[in-house]
Order: sequence, then structure tokens, then C-alpha cells
Amino acid sequence: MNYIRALFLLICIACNAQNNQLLFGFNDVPQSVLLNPSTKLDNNWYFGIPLLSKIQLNTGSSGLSVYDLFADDNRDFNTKLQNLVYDLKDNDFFSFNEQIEIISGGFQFGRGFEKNNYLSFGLYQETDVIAYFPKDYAILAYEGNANNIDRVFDLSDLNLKGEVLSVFHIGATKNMNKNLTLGARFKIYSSVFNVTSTKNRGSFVTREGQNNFYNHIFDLDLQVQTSGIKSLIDDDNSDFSRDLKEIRRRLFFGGNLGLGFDLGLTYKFSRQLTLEASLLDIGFIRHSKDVENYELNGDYSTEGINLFFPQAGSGQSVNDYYNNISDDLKDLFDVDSTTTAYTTWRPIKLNSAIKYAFGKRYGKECDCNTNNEGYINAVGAQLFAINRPKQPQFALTAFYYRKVAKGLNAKVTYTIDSFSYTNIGIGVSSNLGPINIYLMGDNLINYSNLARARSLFLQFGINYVFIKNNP
Amino acid sequence: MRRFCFIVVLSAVFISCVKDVDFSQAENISISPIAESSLFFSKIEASRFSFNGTEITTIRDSITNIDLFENDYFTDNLIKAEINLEISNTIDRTFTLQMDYFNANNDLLGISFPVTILPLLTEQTHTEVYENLTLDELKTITKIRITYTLEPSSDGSVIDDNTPGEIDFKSKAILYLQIDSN
Repeated sequence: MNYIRALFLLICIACNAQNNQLLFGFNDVPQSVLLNPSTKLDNNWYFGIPLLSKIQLNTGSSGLSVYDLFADDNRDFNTKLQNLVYDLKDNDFFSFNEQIEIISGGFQFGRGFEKNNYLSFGLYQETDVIAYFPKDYAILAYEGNANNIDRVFDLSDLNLKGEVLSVFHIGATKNMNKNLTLGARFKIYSSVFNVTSTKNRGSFVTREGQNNFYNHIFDLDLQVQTSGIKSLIDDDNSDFSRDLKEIRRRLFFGGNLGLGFDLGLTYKFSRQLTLEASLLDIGFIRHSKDVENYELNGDYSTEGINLFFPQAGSGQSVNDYYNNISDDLKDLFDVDSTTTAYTTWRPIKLNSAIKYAFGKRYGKECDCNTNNEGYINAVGAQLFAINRPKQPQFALTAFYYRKVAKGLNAKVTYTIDSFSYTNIGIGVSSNLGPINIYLMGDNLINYSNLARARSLFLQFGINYVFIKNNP
Repeated sequence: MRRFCFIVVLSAVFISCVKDVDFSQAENISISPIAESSLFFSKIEASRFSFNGTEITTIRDSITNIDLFENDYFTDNLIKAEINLEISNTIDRTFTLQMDYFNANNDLLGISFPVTILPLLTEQTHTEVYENLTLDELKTITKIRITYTLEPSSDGSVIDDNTPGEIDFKSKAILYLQIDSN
């Protein structure tokens, strides 16, 4: 029972932003190799239609939907806002991920008729943002400190990270033997913008004082690191096209650079039972160009201003004392800016699945292939995890895959994560001649009113795919 | 044909909308935090009111160049302020505490106030509330002068260097803010 509760808790704190449960293992779509470099693609070669081969949008908010706050329900907006401020936890977050593939392609290679290897490559642009709910800041702003004497406001609640980058990648998939396929992908990151504020510490508390009503205690250790932003904001030109040119330059290796890799493994226990697993974005970016960091550091406590009532001619004055306090406080809240280089780690993602294929179709419609051993159905379970600033997030998925008709494949998923326990997704891939079109989305239950959805995932793309044995 | 139908059905599923949502509600946002802050404090021994055996009737201290209200954001959103005093007097004499406020022209403001401090009584409290006109006046202050006046003794006793007791003075401000989209 405890295990179940633990698992439930694990799922409660989980999320699926960046989860791509529909595409993972969906080897009819060439882009599935980006989620697992050991996924054996079902074609001889392919290239993605530039800018259209993968457009992906993934957004989520663990604690609320747009509807919770903005529903046109005649309830007082401030009451709704108040409920949110109190209901949301400091681990609740908003996340956003977007990817657009600029170019991509791949081909089989190897000796002999059975080409055992596949090489794939491409360049995509990605935006990734996560911001946790700054609970204690919100309470302090909402209530003030008056009703919170002795409450320690935790300043580490400010935790956010955002980046825009481009990723150039090249990867290889290799059949080691009839059971095992391995894959690896090498990545070069070029960061366009980065904002990181994930290591904030400190507190603010008002306690009963000794000499006065209160002692106000500040312990500040806050930091925001940025790269790629200062030069675009500070430049004198109001010429947006020049800024765009600069952004384009950074997308093509002109930004702050980083390196990373993906690893993947596919193991067939039998003709029907397969394990698939991958680790993505094990990598870092070094931010040394166009860096501006902001820091707020210091410890301070004050009970107010001690009046001296100086004797005439003593030279003592409360004014000096007041000026000192005033200066100390100004120093305390004076933001230092630095240009120290820093390193960010990409969010590492784990995908894994266990898949059981069944049901052979015989007859003229069969487009059996080596991967699925001719089975037209598959069921399985997937686990997704992503390393995030505060804690890893998880999602569990059950799926059903089916070759619906010749050149038409579909996958249905049911996912449990921190956004909802009822997330149903559908993905479809269709081959119209050599043109492969795919469309995937989840949270279908909420599609009649998107405002109620806490998360949303949408993806589509078009590829030109060449399959030799395709009649 | 079957494939075509499938895609049509699926597309219909993906065509979705956002209903019953009114983003203009955000214009009604209003939050009302209350901040409390220690202000001044002092401990004055009875002997401070004596110099070479003679009573000193008044002692005073002042704080000039107060720039708190130069912060427009704070000043615009401050809708009410309160000052709480707590005074413990263990000296067997009556005092008057006079709080005088001045603006940048050094004009003495009407919101200035006196507090009578009774002898041998602890935790004497006094509250001043500033709203509307008095609040507007408060927002102009740049200087505060605090004066203790020793009232004449009722029994002819005189404070000297050995007179026991002290005046323990504490103060805090309670600031009521209202932040809205206006």
C-alpha cells in the first residue's frame, strides 16, 4: 500500500512538459529517432521538408488552467486570484517548450543487402522555459508581513529558467545483433538567449524585537544569470531587422556554444516483446558572450532607529544613525551586475518503453516490415522523466499502436502526470506516396475547451520518405 | 477512402476552441497587503533629565532627510497608515512626548501630536491613524522631531543623577497598501 502511495506521490509531483509520449517509438515517423537514437526507422532514406518537418508545441501548468483564473463565471476575480495564491504550491510550475526543425534527413547504410545502420542529422530550434510558482514572494506581496510575524519567507521560491537555442545533431543507429540495436547522437548547441535563476537562497522574516516591536531580518543570496539579452536591449538601434539578423547568426553557431549527446538502446526479448530506452540531452552550454548577471547579496537585521537624544555639544546625532541604516538598506537592495561566464546544463530526459506486439494481418493489405515482425498491433507502457531545477518530473503512459491500413499508422496514449490523470492522446502518421505526414496531440478530452486544459501538446510535420520495398 | 475519413475525423478532433473565458477580468486585479515595520526606539534613564543637579525639562532628537515618500509606487499605493507607540515609564514623573512632523519647507504639520506619559506605568499605548487628508499630509514629511518634556512634579521631587527608572519607548508603523491596475 505504501508503495502505491509513494508511486502516486511521485506521479503527483510529476509533469509532462517535454514529454513526447506519442512520438516515442513511433518509427513510421522519421523524427522518432530524435527521441531514441536506437529507433530503427522504417525507410531507406528521408529528408524533412525544411521548416515543416517538425513543429512542436508543448505547454503546461501543474497547478492551474487558464479557466481557473479567467473563467467568465461571475465569480470575483480577486477571490479566484486569492484561491490560487493559497492553493498553488512552491513546486507548482509553468512550462513551455517549442521546437521547429529547420532541416533534417537520414539514410540507411552498411554492407550487403541488409543495411544494418542508419545515419540521421539535422538542425532544429528549441525554446524551453520553466518557472516555478514563487509562493512565498506571492504571499508576501499579497498579505504583507503584518499577519506573518515569525513566518520565514523562503527566497529560494524564485526559480526559473528559460532558453532559446538551436541544436545541430548527427546520430547513428546500429544493429549489434538480431536482438540489440544501439544508437548515439552528437549535438552542438548554440544558445540565442538564456535566463537562469535557479540557485536563489535566503529568507526574510519579521520577529519580535528586543528593543522595539520587531526585528526585521534579511538574508539575501539571489542571482539571475543572462546571456544574449544585454546586447539586444542595450543597443542604440531601434532597427528590429538588425536584431533579427543577429538572432539568425546565433541560430547558426554564432551564439554561446555547448556540446551534448543522446544515447539509446532497443532490445528485443522475443519477436513480440521489446524494450526501448533513451537518455537525451546529456550536455551543457557555456555562456561567455554577452553575459549579464544580477546579484543581490547580504545579511542585515534592524529593529528600527535608535533615538539618542544627544546632549548639547556631544556631536552625536541620530541623523548619522538614520543615514547609516538608510545606506545599509540601500546597499542591501542594490543589485550588483557582473559579466562572469557561466555554464548551464540541458534538462536530461529519460524515455523508456516496454512494448508487446501482437496480431498478424495476412492478405493484400499487409505492409509488414522487419521492425514489427509483421504484427499490426502493439501495447505497452512508457515512463518519461526529465531533470528540472527543483526536482525531476515524471509521466507514465499506457499506449496502443496499430497499423490501421496500408501507410496509415496510429498510436493512442493514456498518460498520468501532474497536470491530469486523464490525458488521452492520439498520433497519426500517413504515407501518401513518398510524402509522410504526421499529426499528434494530447489532452483530447479538453479540446472542446482548451482553457480548461492544464497542458497541451501538439506536433505535426511533413517528410519525404523513400521506402524501397514500397510498391 | 478509409484513410481519408480517418484524417477528417481526426482533424475535427484537433479543431478546438477556448470558451467562456474573459481575460479582461485581470483589469479588476486588486491586492491589499499590510506591512508592519519597526520605527524608532529609545531607552532613556532618569538621569538623562538631570545635569549637574539641575533638572532638564526637554530633550529632543530629530531625523531629517526622510525620503521614504519619494518612492512614487509606494506613496501612490499607500491608502492608510497607522503609528503605534508603546511606552513603559518606571520613573515617578509625568512626561509629554511630542511627535512633530515637518515638510520639505520645514513647516510644522498639523498631524503632529503629543502623548502624555504617566508615571510608574508600563505598556502605555498610543495609536495614530492617518487616512485621507491626514494621510496626504503624512506623505509630505521629510523630518520628524521627537521631544520629551518633563512635566512639573506634583510633590516637589527633583530628578537627580541617582533617580531610578527609565522610559522605554517603542514604535511601529502599519502600512495599508492597495495595489490595483489603476
